[in-house]
Amino acid sequence: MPDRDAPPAPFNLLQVAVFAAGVMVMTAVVLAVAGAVHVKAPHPPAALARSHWQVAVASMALVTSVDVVVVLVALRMRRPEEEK
Amino acid sequence: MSSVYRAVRKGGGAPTVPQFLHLQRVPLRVVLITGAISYSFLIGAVVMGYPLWGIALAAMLPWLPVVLFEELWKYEHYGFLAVFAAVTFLQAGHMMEHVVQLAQLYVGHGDMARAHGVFGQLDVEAVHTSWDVGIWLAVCVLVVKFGRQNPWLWITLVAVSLHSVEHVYIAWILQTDPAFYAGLGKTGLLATGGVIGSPLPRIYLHFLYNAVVTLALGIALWEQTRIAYDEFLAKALPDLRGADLVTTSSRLRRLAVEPGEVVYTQGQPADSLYVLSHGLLETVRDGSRIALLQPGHFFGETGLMTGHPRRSTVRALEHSELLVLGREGFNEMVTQSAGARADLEAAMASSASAS
Repeated sequence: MPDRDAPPAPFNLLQVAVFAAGVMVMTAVVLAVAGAVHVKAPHPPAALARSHWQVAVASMALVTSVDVVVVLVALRMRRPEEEK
Repeated sequence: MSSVYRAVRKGGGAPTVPQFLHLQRVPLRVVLITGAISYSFLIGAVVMGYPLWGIALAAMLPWLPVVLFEELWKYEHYGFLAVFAAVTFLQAGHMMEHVVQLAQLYVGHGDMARAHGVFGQLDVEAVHTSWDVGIWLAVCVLVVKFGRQNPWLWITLVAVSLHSVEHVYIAWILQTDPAFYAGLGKTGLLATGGVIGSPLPRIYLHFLYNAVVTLALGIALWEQTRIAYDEFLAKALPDLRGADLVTTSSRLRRLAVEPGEVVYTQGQPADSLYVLSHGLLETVRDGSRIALLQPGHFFGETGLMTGHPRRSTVRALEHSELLVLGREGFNEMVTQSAGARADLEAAMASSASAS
């Protein structure tokens, strides 16, 4: 949808509170359920091979680089009145 | 105008459900009938002893055409915002799978083998990766499209990116080191036993990722719908702008007319402005056709502006859909928007010169 007359919007405090409360409730639910049931870990922790760390870093780099491009494109998008 | 966002927010009053989220093309009775059919299918599937996924599918299938029809209307009128809503809707459905999975785990006293969600056959790594990376890419597109107006999309992007890093890593490990994947590899980065690790096993961690993404995306959609406007109204009245466009859109109601049906009759008191969004209408005065109206046209403004009765009859030539703005909404729009007044006066002058 075209963003006619639509500059950046501020956060709404009520919504920030709803979001924070939601995250806290979700975390509480997760921890409560996690504490109530017993999930067997697949294997005891073991030393990771160097290559697995490299895969982890590469995955972060891949996603982050796409995000950076997205953020740049989003911030460079001009509103119609700015183009005039 | 400094900001549509602020202006709409300053409107005050109790929060109301934005027009975009109302049912438009699908009548309420169709929703009720579909609900009854869906419930019957659900009961039937339970009685027939279908597996959980079969029961869920039977209950969901009747809703498919309803959702598609409504989604199509929203796309025609609100453009890409309909895609935003579809992505949020799908993510909420995915979240439900995680809720069910957690419930199964609880009921099964921690037995992971019994905690695969409703559609357990899809609980495989390829599906998890495709879905979560797909949602991440969809949020990237939404950020490009709406990010400047919507800070909640940035929070969603952060959460969904973290989640995607996990899945890209896990999928990568699955491809390059299947033996390690079968052990610690599937735990990913932040779950218990993962590269970084935390007290949360994978099932809980991914529930949390999805919960944060769904919540932030839901708030982002709500915010976006509050500043959304009907594109047919924007095309019909190009000088109606910003908060006035949003407010006027919220006052529109949909009207469907069949071929031969009359929208209003010559001599009748004027009470509404109409915008044609679909179909074809004719304007008839004293028995003679004077104009054909196509989508994007508005009509009925003269009677409202002058207070005189309708000067012509408007009749549908094919199935048509109209957006109707009542007198109260019309008066408010004309009072507040000089642009709308200019558009309406230009249309009246054009109409007067044509006749």
